[in-house]
Amino acid sequence: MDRPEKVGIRRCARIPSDGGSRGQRGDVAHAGRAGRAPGALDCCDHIRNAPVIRNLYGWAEKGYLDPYQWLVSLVGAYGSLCTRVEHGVSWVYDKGVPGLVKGTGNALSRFVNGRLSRYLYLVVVGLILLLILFFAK
Amino acid sequence: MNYLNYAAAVFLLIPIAAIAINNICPKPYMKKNFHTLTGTVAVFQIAAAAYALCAMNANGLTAYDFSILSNLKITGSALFRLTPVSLIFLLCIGMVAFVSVAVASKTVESMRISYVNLLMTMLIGMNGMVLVKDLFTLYVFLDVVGISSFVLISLFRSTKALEGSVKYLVISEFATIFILTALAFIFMQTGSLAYQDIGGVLEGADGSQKNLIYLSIALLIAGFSIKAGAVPFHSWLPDAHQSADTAVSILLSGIVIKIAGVYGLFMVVSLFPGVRAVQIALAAIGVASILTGALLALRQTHFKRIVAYSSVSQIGYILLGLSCGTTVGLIGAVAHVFSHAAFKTTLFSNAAALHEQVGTLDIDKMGGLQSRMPVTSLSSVVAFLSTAGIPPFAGFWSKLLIIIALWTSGSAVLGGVALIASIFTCAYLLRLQKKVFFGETPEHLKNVTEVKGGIKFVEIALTVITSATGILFPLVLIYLQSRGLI
Repeated sequence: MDRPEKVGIRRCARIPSDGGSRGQRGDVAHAGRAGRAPGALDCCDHIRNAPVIRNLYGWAEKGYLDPYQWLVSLVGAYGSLCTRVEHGVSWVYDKGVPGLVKGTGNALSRFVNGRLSRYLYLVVVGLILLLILFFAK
Repeated sequence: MNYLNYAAAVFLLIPIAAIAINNICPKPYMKKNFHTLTGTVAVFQIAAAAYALCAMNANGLTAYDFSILSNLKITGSALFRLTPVSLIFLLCIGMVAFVSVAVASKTVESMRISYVNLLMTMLIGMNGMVLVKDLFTLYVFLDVVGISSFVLISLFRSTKALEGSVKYLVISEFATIFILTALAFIFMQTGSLAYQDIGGVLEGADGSQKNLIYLSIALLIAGFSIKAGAVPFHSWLPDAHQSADTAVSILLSGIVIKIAGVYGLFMVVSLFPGVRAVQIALAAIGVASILTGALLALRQTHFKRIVAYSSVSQIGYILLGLSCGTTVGLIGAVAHVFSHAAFKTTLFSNAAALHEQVGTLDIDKMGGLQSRMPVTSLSSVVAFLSTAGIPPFAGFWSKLLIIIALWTSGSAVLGGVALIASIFTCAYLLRLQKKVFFGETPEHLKNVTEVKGGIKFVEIALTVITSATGILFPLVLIYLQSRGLI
């Protein structure tokens, strides 16, 4: 059965002479001085890790609270919007309007098919529309 | 004033004299010189119209009544009336007839005697229509124009020409029925068909009388719209214009649809001023014509068919001008009649030149002709720019007046539609120009040369007229402003 004192001694023996890395110091803190900051640089970690403030620090580190980042994001979004608008306008010019015009032109061309009977129907429909226009109250 | 009387007589008597000369002189001589006779008549008409316009302006006259073969002192004997508007129409008739004759000297190889007889008959009909003072005589002259048109289209007896002529004939019969029925209803109400008696027919009419008059107006609009080739009554026009000889197409598109159709609608607007339904009907037909004509022109591959659908579209602009019911709108419409006559006859002259030199009018089989036919190419570009309403050409000013009239009469939306529709005009004419005159020249067109003779002459003359009218139009506006018309 292991005794805790022996474990502590064994872990301490693994501390390098030059101090080692932060992770190693953390191990030391956990092993020998639990709940206390190991040095001056980490003395405020308990504040940093406090509820709510920890989230704020997290957001700050991700740049969410940085006005410069806001502006960069805003400009990026504006640029993206402009690109979408430009693509939309280009689509309207390149495909939308020509497609609509071509489609309508084709439909009209198919409708005006050279048959006299259809032309006569058109004349009668035109007259009926005119009469509706004149007598619609 | 005597000279004005003689000038007025020119419009009806000279064509009759030409028919007599054409049939009395030996046939071989007339076949050889048919263009001299008809060209002289056209020049006389242009000169008489220009002189009468100047004389009326100098004497401050807005109308001049005259008669032929009867004493003016007898009441009701003055059957004809000259007005500035009718003189502008007469000027256009003379100009288009001259172009038709110049083109016919190249394209009409056979049936020349018949061509002259029919052209002169058509001239009498058109001149009569714009000179008469009552609706029934107008109808009679309208049918003279119609019958001569049917025969002229089918004169050379090709299958397509006969088909186009029959379509025009059958659909025109509807126009005849509509107009005659309308005249009967109006006569029932007024007991007269003279313009001055019809003017106030709506005032004091009760419910049923008003309905009958509205029915008459609707029938008149439908009848004249058929003749004008306006949507939805336009179906006959592309077939007839494409299948006829180009000299005849020039007449049909350049002036017949305007006199037989637009002038009739002009009279309807003048006789029933301020009727809201008339304005709405003309605006609706106008917008439908502009858009449908342009969209259909975009899908065609035959040069004459594109130009024919372009006529449907441009007639829409004239109807929009008439729909305003204002002086500016009427001036814009009449100006567009003139500018359209100029640029449309130019485009049909181009068609004649291409048919003579290239042998086809299928634009997919052409290309790169700009360097080989520079005169035809240049005149075509000028006509295209004028049609699209690009300054400083004639079409720009007439379209501008129409759009201003629409704007000031409270139809800003229609003005916007007219403006945007010009983009479609540019689209179908740019496509035409690109396919015919620009790009690579196909191997079979390497030896094509510029057309010569009458066609080349009218191409140059019409280009000068279109450009000069556009450049000098501000002077016309200044004159109209000094007379308080705009």
